[in-house]
Amino acid sequence: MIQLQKISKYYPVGLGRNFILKEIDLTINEGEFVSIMGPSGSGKSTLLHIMGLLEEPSDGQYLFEGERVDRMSEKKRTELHRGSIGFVFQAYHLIDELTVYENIETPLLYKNISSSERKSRVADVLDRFNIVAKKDLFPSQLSGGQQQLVGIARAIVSEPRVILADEPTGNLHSDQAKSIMELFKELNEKDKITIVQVTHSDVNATYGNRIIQIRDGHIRS
Amino acid sequence: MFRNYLLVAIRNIRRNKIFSLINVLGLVIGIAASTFMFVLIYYELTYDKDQADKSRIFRVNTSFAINDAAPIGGVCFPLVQAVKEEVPEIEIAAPVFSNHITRRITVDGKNFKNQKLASFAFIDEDYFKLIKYEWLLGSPASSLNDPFSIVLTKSQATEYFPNLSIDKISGKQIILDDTIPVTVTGIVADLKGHSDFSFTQFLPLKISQTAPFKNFFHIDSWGNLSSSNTLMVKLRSESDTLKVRLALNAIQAVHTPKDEVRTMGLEPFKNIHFTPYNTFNRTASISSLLTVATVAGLLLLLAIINFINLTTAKASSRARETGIRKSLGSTKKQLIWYYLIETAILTFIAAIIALLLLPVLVQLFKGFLPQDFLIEDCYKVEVILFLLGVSTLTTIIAGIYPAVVVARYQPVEVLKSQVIQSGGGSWIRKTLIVSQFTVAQCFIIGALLVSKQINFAINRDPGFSKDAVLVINTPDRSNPLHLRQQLMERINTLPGVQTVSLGAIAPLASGAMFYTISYTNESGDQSILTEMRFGDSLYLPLYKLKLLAGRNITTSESTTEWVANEQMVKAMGLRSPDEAIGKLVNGHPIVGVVGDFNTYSAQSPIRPLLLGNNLKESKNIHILLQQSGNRAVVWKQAIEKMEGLWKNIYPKSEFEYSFLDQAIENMYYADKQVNTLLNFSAILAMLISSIGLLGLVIFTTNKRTREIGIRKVLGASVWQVTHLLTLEFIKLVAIAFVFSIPLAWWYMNKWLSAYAYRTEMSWWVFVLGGIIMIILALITISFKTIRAATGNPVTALKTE
Repeated sequence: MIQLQKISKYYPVGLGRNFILKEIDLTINEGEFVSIMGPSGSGKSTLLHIMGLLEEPSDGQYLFEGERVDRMSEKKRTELHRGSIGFVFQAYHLIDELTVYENIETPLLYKNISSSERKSRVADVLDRFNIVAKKDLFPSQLSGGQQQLVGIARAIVSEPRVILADEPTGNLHSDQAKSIMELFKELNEKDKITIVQVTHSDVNATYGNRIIQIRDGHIRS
Repeated sequence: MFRNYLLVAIRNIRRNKIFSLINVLGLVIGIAASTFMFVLIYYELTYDKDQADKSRIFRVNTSFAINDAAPIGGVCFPLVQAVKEEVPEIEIAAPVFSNHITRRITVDGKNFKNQKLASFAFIDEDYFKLIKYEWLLGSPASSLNDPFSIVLTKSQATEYFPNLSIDKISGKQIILDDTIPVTVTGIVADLKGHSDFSFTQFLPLKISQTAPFKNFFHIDSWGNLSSSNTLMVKLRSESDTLKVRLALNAIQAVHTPKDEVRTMGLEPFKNIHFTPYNTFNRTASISSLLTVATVAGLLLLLAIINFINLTTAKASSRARETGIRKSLGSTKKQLIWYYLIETAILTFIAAIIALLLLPVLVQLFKGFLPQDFLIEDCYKVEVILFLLGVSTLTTIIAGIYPAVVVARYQPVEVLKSQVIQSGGGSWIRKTLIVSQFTVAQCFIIGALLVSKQINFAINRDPGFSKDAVLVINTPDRSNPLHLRQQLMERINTLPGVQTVSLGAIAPLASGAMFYTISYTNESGDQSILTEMRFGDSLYLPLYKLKLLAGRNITTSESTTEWVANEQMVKAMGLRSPDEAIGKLVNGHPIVGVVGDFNTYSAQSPIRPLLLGNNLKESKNIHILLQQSGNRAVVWKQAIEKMEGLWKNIYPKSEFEYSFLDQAIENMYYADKQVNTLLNFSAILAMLISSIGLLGLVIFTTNKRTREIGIRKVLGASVWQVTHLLTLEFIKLVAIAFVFSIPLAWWYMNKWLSAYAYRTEMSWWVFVLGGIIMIILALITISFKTIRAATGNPVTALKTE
């Protein structure tokens, strides 16, 4: 599903280059639950951003479902964003001005989904995550775990094929982290959503079925 | 989608209350000011807008070929009949002679004053063919048959006969000036909309031939000209304009007095409301309207700049939202729309507040508006359309740049890092601030210079003494010379009165009197357009006019001798005042020459002038009051006693007087209006610019909180930090000051050139303007910088 071929990311420093990622080859198949691990600054977040089309690689090829992303038009990429990829962030990144309900609804708005379908889909997700009672609250009125729950709800509401999670439990205590990770596992197994997460925690990493170690821009596994 | 945008925008506005308030405030000022000025301009431009066949209607003007005098919007009396008979290209020739003769109108024992401009006119049937009225009683053909009939508008009829129905008013009698009974024969509906033809009562022009009016009209004179004798003509075809002008000139040329050249002209109907010279109604000045429009545009521009500044400064706080939305699949275009909607909401809130503020502005600036302006004139479809247009334009201009800046953020930068870069280049914001302050600075310097010029014009030495002089106008009618002399003599005995003189108008007055005089020298006969003053032998000493040669005039009932001014001596081609003594002008000798003195406002140069000793022409009593003692009390008592004396001599007329220095000050009314406008604009411009500056200061200071914290930890004092922060902004204000000097100099030089007597553009005016601006900027800046500088560095560093 995701194929990275000789992906590099670097910034020019003086006359040389400062590599963040160097010639990464990685294939992630549909239905996998992959954990990317590594110390701070190893380039794991950058790798995730590249997979999520938030950042462009300096070199190399990225194939999403066999199609070269660098050759895609802006429009096609946006389509990909809207339809196939869901993001979960460490800092949740909910829109403060929107209620829980509206936050979850936003990706559907960008997909031009009809109002009645939006309603039923958001209702389903709220129901599934047991947060119906909180739907009219604003993010600031929720705990961290609850916010992340909303973040995940927002990521899956548009029924993506892949969820990219950047340290999804980094700001949570262990109980909350555990339930979030179980949720991911469930999404992966039941809904067949491919999940790629970046994490520091060995415990969290074990939820996935493959662990990729990254260090100084290289994969070591 | 739209609903979602709207919702978030409103929540955002509510969340950042202070920021939104500042933003809306700036826009309210800009939009309210420009709408108010639009209302004013629109009002002036829509005079008589529904008049049919405008392009074929003209006013006949007369110009003297001598000097550079502006044309006069009137004609000689006999021209009217001649035009009606001799020019076939003219379809309608309608005389509209305004009635300044009638002073008092008596209806059923109640007295009314004839005082309004354009309220009372002498007309004939043709007037009603030109200006269409709806007739409620009578008809144009029947109502004007009898010379002693009168036609009223409905509103006037209701004022005179409040309790009578229209058919009951028919045949009622109205008495003019206690002696002339006229009968109501017609009532017309008032014209809709505002019109220069705002007359409410009409007398048949025929009445001018009857005994009570004969003396006031020069029915057979082809020389006598009055600006109140307007002739309106409607041509059969627009293309006949030239032909008609030639015909008019041909008729006038046959009769024009010897040695005189007169040119007849046609003033298009659409210009009538804007000609600077006399007409029967108030006119508007195109150049002031342009100034008003420019000021309005600039204020709006300032508000827009402000908005851009504040919004881009705030952009970084919206960056995270942009990042999230982009990662959720929003396109840049969608984001731009989203931020534009927010701008639109703020703008429309501002527009609604501006609309509600309009009546308040109208009330506040009543003096600035035409007297016939009503609050209803603010609430018209056109005004709403203007507001809609301005709001849309403002939204686009003010919203597009910040929207693009915010929508440009790349999600990775924003979502990954904690520190967010500011939106847009800071040089753009600095340029905007500099341009704002340049405009504000120009307004300040302009306001200072205009008030300096007005002060100069009012307090300048006019060449005669104007202090403590009181002028009383005696009645026009039933006022033989002996009555005036009687009043004068009695006033002379009052305590507090120093000198009393009988004369025509004061040396400097708003009404002008011109004669064309003839003078013969070696090169033959000469005509000189001369200003006239008349008075007795005390006129000259009362006004302390400086005699340069010869002697003062003696008192006489009709003109026997003249005193000339220096310009007159020059116009006669003589080298020194002494040479003028004994020269004959219009058959009478010049016996003295006085130094030039100003006869009108500072805008006009001094013209040739003759002072004649003619008591018949002298209907004003000039009184010099004593200046010692308690003036307020002594003068008040003297004026009360004068009124008592007046009641004995003119029991039926009202006592009217004016102090000369006040009357002169009133002549600068228009300039004072410009001054008010500029002061008002300068304050608003400063206010808006200060808000903009405050926005920039808040933004920059917040960005530098960490730097300030570190500096303080390293040992910087509060003063050093404040200094550091302040200097950056003061530089911008200083640059604006430098830019504004040539701009203000150029514009004010242009403005001042309209005055024959003008104040200097002193350097200190510019410096003062600069100081005012800097002080204001310093106050604005210190709101934020001092707090930032005194803040605890630990909290500053922690929050980072």
